[in-house]
Formats: sequence, C-alpha cells, structure tokens
Amino acid sequence: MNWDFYLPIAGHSLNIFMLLGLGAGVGFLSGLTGVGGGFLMTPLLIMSGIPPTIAAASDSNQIVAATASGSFAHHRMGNVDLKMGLILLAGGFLGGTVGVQIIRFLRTLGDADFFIKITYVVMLSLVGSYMLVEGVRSHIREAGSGYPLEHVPHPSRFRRFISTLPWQTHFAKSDVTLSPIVPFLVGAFVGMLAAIMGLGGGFIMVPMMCYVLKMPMHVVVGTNLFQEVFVCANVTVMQAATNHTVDVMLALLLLLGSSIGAQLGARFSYRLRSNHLKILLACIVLAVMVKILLGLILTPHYMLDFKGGE
Amino acid sequence: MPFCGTGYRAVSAALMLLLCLGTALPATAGGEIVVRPELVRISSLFSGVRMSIRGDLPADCQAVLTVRGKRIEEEMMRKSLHWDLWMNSGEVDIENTPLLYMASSSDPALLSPDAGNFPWGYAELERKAEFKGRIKPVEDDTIFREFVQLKERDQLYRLYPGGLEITHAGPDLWRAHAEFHLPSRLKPGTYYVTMWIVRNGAIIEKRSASFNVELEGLPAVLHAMAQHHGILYGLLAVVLAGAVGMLTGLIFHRKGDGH
Repeated sequence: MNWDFYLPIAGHSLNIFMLLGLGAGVGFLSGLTGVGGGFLMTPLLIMSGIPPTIAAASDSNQIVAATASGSFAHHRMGNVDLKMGLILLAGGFLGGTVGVQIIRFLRTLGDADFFIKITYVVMLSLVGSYMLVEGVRSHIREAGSGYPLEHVPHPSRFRRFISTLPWQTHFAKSDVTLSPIVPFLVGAFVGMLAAIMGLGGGFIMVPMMCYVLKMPMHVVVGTNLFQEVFVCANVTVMQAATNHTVDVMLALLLLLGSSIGAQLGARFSYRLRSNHLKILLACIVLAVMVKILLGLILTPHYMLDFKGGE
Repeated sequence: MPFCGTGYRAVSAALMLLLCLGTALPATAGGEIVVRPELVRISSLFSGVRMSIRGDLPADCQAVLTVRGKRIEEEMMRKSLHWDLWMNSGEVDIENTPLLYMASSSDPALLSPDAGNFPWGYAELERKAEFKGRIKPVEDDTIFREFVQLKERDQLYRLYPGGLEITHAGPDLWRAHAEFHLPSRLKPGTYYVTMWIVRNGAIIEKRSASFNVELEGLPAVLHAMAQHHGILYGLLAVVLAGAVGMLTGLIFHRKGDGH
C-alpha cells in the first residue's frame, strides 16, 4: 500500500503518517507551552525535503489550526485574556510592519541572512537562559518555602516605572493592573522580531507576557495562542497572495495531527506546575538555539544550496 | 582539371557515406523509441513513476539513453565564512541546465567521466551550463560538481553506466531496454528521451522521443488556484485550518464533558 501523498505546491510526495506524526508532536508542545511551534516545525519540514519558503508559509497555515484549537481549549478553561490579547495584537501588527521594512532594507545591503541568524541565536539564548534560570530558581524556592514565588512582593525599579505610566487598567483575567501602553509595546517589539525572524514569535511573546506583563502562566499560554491565530492567518494570506508558497495539503495533514496534539497538550499543561512549564519551554528554546549555532559553526556538507535553502 | 577531380572524389565519398548509413538504417527497424507510459499523471497518491524505454539497434552496436527535462535557470546560494560563521554569501545562477537528467549506457565506459566529447553525461551538461554571480571562473567546476550532488540527492540527476540492457531481437538486430525511476519531484511538462547508437566509438545514429507529465485531480485544481487566485486560496487555507482547529476543539471539549 502506498502511503505517500502528493503535495501540489511543494511539488513532491511525503508519507502521510510521517506528516500526521510531525503535526501531533509539535501540536502537543504547542498546547503544552503556548508557543505556536513554528520555530520547531519549519526546520523539521525542511529536513523532510520541503523547500524552506514553502515549509515556512505552510507552517503558518497549520499553526492557525493548532492555535485555534489550543486557544479554544484554553478559552473554555478561562485562560484567555481577550482584552490583553487584542492590545498585544494591535502592537504586533505595527511591529510586524516595521520588521518587514527592516528586512527589506537589510536585503538591499546583502546582510539580511547574517542579521536573521544572529537575531535567532541572541534571542533564543537570552529567552532560553533567562527562563531556565528563573524556572529552576522558582522551583527551588517553592520547594523550600512552600509557597509560589509570584506571591513574594519584590517591586523592581522597572516595575515601579511601569506603575507610573498613564491609563492604568485592570486586566481581570490576568489579575494585573498596568497601562495598555506596556502590552502594546510588548506586542510591537515581538511583532517586529517575529517579522525579522519569519515566525509567529510565540517563544518570545510567552516569556515577555510572563516576566514583563506579570501574567499568570496559564493565562499567558491561552492568550498567546489566541493572538497567534490572527498573526498566522495574516501571514498565510500574505504568503499565498504574494509568493504562492502555501501548500494547503501539507498544512491540512500537519494540522490534523497538530490540532489533536494541541488539545492533549493543553490538557496536560493543567497537570504541570507553572515552573515546570517554564523549564520545559526553556529547554526546547535552548535546544533549537544550539541546533542553529552548530549550523553556523560547523563546516557545511555542501558549499552550495538551492536558493531559500536556509 | 585538378579541381574537378577533387570535387568528384568528395562527392563520391559523401555518396559512399550515405550508402553506408542507408544500409545501417533499415537494420534499426524504423528507428523508434518506445516510451512507457507516454503520459505521466500526477494525482494525490503519486509517489514517482517507473519509466520503461526501449529501442532496437543494429547488432554489434552500443547505445546510450538519456531522459532530460526542460532547460532552466537554477538559483543557488553559496556559503562562505563570515566572521568565522558559515553564511550564505552570494547568489550563483546556473543557467541552461536540465530540470531532470538521467542517462543509461549499454557499455559502462560510455558514461565514464573520461569517455570523451560525447553529447551526453555530466561533462556535456557542464559544457552547456552558464554560470552567473559571485564566482571566479576557476570555481565553475567545483560549483557544478556540488550542483550535481544536490540534484542527485533529490534524485533528479542520475547516471547508470552499463544500466542499458541489450538483448537479441532478431538476426542482426539487438534491443536496448532501460528502466528509470522518476521521483515524485517531477515537474509537469515535456521530457525528452534520446538514444544514441554507437559503433566503434563513433555515433552512427540519434533518435528522439518525448513524454508528458501532467497534474490531475486535486493537485491540478489546488496548483491552478494557488497560482491564479492567491488571495482566495490563502483565505480558503485559513478558513479550512480554523475550522479544523475549532472542530477538534469542540470534539475534545465534548469528550471532556463526558468524563
């Protein structure tokens, strides 16, 4: 029996079960940690022989399903802060537009590839290391004191500055009071980086929501999935209209697996403690960073590659 | 007149050559190449195709068979060290190379790298290829070698020295037969099959045939829609993804209620 399926835009066939399994695995992590999974899925698809531009665009398409499925599950559990999500989204669209212009400018200078890779390594290192240290430290303190770290009052200078900003608003679901300027700027910053790096930006957004906006981890996961639905839907339509690189059959097979995986991940996330989720996400982020770094340091097997091969 | 004598000899030699070729041609039974299938249809369950190609040739001859896709321009990126890190450092375009290239010979020596200036094999492709971009002329050979390796990795280029099977088809008539597995990366379009018949190291005949590759069914519909109605295709992809995601959410929620 032939279990290969032809992907009309990618232009070749792949095994159905491999694609379903890939979707389920990444979807599970997505539901568990709240990140869209683009930074994991795209490299895995490229390794499977999908051209990079098609892998990235089709991945955005399948993330729409995984994030819609995951955010729906989190919404039912009361983990989506709609008000916060919409402000982050507005900032994200502005930041995304700025990021696209930065990349366009760098491409004219011929340094875009270098800039993108360095941004990846720096951002993944910072985010991964910080989350890992923070997660382990919190775990040790909780284990020692018996109460969560979030309840320890310790206002920093940065937090005092945030509290002086205008239009202080209470976000009931997140149980935080801050100026809408802060989530707007966070959204803009992440949107800009996401546009530069060509991803949904969940792995940057989640730590930012956690540490800058001080949202509880379970609301962070649900709210990030909610805003990523719109970010990825926008990218999918743009890619389909301008580059014709969205393979809907590839996305469908991946999303069948990922939407189920995301549901299981969302359920499993409720059984895990907040610190454990942070440590898990940090490990994934650092593993991806090491993979990219090795690709930069080790002598490549081929000195030549088809365009878009990175 | 000496001039007339030379002209007479030249015409006589040409007539003799034509006569020789004329006696050779009937032995090839019409000089047809049989290609099966003649039309390759790419449907949703397509995973590549096995092509069977055969042709008759005079006894005591050798043959080389090639399958070639249309000539295209391949856009490549080359890597180099940039601040001690491996980066894409510039674009290299390789023009006039076929999308797909497979060759099989009855005599392995005919496809060896030092076979000579024959119109087949990678050496012939390299002679016809044009290089553009950030490269030095001395690098052409290195770049082409890596280009072939990448194509072979994708199963789009392959040489089969000695892969062309020869059997007796009748008195003074041999039959050459080869099978090629064409990968699922095959692009729609026309593909050209050529058979060269070689005697004592010289080409005595060249025959050509072709076959077509077409998309059909769902792949054809989706490909056409993606190319010609991009926005509609993108919206459809988003709606489809959102619907599947929400549906799965709903199913799981109901299952969760049941517990």
